[in-house]
Amino acid sequence: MTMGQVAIDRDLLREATRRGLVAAVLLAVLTVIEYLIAIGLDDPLLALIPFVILKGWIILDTFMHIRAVFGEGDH
Amino acid sequence: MTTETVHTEYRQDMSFQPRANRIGLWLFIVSETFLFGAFLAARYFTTGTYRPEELNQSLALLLTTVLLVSSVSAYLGEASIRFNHRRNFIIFAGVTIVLGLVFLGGVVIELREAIHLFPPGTPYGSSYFMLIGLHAFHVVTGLIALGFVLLLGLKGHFGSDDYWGVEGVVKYWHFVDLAWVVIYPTLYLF
Repeated sequence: MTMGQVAIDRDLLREATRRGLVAAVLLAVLTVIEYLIAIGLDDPLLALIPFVILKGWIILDTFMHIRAVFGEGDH
Repeated sequence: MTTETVHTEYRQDMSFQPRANRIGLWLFIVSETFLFGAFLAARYFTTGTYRPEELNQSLALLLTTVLLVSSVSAYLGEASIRFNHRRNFIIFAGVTIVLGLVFLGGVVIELREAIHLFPPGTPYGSSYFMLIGLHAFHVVTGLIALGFVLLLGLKGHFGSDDYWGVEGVVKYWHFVDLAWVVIYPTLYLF
């Protein structure tokens, strides 16, 4: 492996790590808000559905690369 | 067409294998989604959005956090091997396994409390134990698969050109996390 390839791999890994950490922070914030809403409301079902969908999409898109199945994005 | 020609064409087609593997795994994940969907539907059918006051909310929130962090470490492990960083891959795969074991330990504590508060014979108890049990089974199988991948990684397998084994197992682990993202509010929050 050439030095150039090593540098490219390092940059790509750094970018992937950044993306993963942003997703992690978003998931953490959404989970805390979700919890606070659930504790605060008597019937939180409708209020929580958007959070479930959003968290699910972050996992599917960032971690599972679902768009690659349709020929878009990474992987 | 001779037998040799058929074999040569088959070998050439093998270049499409990673894409075929991915599609196969996604189909498996879709079928698993239906399985979890049936159990989730059963919970809403039998008990609606009833939620017992005795649920251990703090423990459930902690377990959710542990599983989400394990998904991040699994992702970082996959990214590491994809970009030829074996040492990081080993570390992140190990961290993912440890977090998975912590999650399982928490589930055991949860179940020990739950069996007295809402036994499996009650409507909520049956949904609770079936969903938690089904999910825990997937966590166990995911941990076994992660263990194999870690072992192979330690022996020098996988690299940027050949990381499908890691990718497949890590995707499965993310699916386990995704299932929990729906199960957690279904049992504890709604």
